[in-house]
Amino acid sequence: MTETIDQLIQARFTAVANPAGASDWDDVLARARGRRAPVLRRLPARVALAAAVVVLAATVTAVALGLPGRVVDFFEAPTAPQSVKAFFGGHNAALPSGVRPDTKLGQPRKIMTATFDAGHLSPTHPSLHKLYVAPRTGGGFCYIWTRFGGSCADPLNPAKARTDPAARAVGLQWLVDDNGLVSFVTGWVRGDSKTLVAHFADGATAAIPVTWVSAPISAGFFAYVVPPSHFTRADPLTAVVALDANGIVVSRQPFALTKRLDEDVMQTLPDGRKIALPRRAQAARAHELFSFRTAKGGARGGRGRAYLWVMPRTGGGVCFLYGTGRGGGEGCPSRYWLAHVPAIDGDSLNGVFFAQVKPEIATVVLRFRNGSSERITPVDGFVLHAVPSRPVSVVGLSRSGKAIYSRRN
Amino acid sequence: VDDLAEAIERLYRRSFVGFRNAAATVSGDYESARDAVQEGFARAYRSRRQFRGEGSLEGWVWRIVLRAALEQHATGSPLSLDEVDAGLVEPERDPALAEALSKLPPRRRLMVFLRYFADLDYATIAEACEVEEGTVAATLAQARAELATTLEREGARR
Repeated sequence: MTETIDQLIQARFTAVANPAGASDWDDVLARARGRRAPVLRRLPARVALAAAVVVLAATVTAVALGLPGRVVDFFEAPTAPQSVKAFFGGHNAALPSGVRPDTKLGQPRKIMTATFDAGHLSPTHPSLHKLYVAPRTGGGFCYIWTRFGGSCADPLNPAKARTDPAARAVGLQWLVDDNGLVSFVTGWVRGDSKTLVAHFADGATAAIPVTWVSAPISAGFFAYVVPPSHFTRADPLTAVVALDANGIVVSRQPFALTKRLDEDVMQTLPDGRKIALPRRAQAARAHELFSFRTAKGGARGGRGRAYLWVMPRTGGGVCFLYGTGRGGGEGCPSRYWLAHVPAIDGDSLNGVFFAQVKPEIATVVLRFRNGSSERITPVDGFVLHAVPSRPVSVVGLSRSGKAIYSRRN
Repeated sequence: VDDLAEAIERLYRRSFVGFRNAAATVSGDYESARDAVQEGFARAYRSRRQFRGEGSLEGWVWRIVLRAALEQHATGSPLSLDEVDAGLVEPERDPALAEALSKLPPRRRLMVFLRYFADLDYATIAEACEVEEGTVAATLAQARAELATTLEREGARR
């Protein structure tokens, strides 16, 4: 009987589900690395693309021709295939701040190709990508690398340069691994720049080839794969610098490595367990502050074990690692960070309440939906406590019993 | 790329539509749901080293995606899973089902969506909603009975 009802309900849901879906793993990776790939919005149907191109061609000054590097006459470049036209023509690229969302785009054209690995933190699988660029009414352009992403820019509008990143001399996107090592840099450079130079930690430099595009784009584009010899902590890429014809720096984008102490490395807890923790967490000096069996929460609903390890943090403070039987977390907060978090910083997970608690809190009171409450005394600034449900409120009492912190969940 | 990164990518490629459809019941529309899924997977990918392997990776990612979907409400204060008013994105496609679902309490409704839109097993729903597996089984049994009653009444009216 249950199966019949289940099937009936499933059929109803299947009938109303939306089966179509445009997944985009490259966008996930770009977001994971802190760069948003373009979010595309549909343009109003009234957009007249052809007219937009004509207006732009007449009003934008050609500045890129004559510069070193490959030069592409925009109107001689191959037009984009229908799929790319639909992408540009039917949508608006995610626009940098200050750019109107109703931006209209002209005919996109293929400007260049490049081989790089857009899908891995450490490049291992390079593939061919094509760059398409489309002019924008009102100035500027939008560009997209196939299977990677792109952006919009308005580099010929110096009035906006102070407040709008899209109007600056250079716009960069780059891929970086967990250590902060840059493997790939792409983007655009304004036509008044002459050269683009990669700087490395050992003082060496290398010219980055630029493909310059004529009006109405009037900018250069590049795709620079950092040589393997500079994809190392010993000698990484440290900056990309744009110079004008007089050798004056017009733009400089520095790159910094992740602090070595903040890198995750495999460490061994005193109980022999190996676990990835920041290098600054002194795992060998860790001690277990809490350890108890949970009523449930283990694998397949069985009993689990909740635990909390704390350990000294190089540079001051404490790192922690906790588990609830089915989940957990870790942290290595600096004193600066701790100064900016709530007095009771934490919540319940899988029936276990975890929080890092400031010294002024002597007692933590958890109140539950059924009206019951529990009072917990923090141990060395931490609380790990089995709870029947997520508390509806969390209150911190001072030593005198005064409520000095409270929040509702 | 490490094993977890590959597992997250496999999960994304295999289950994107299920994630998007279930997230849409929380976020309110497919566009914001897609954004929530993208953002949720990006967060999972970024913080994958925090996954301790003590539950399923899928359940862990679901929790992150649902949180991202809740944020899409942008009402000023973050909602909890108990408060979110999940519902069919296009109720006009099956008004009777939409009405039956609207009578369920919010968390029960969410579990129903996870079960039937995302085809999740009880254990994964439990991890996603941060409840015990038994709670999921009981909740879904109750919800199923309530839905069956409502839908049967609707069948009798037809």
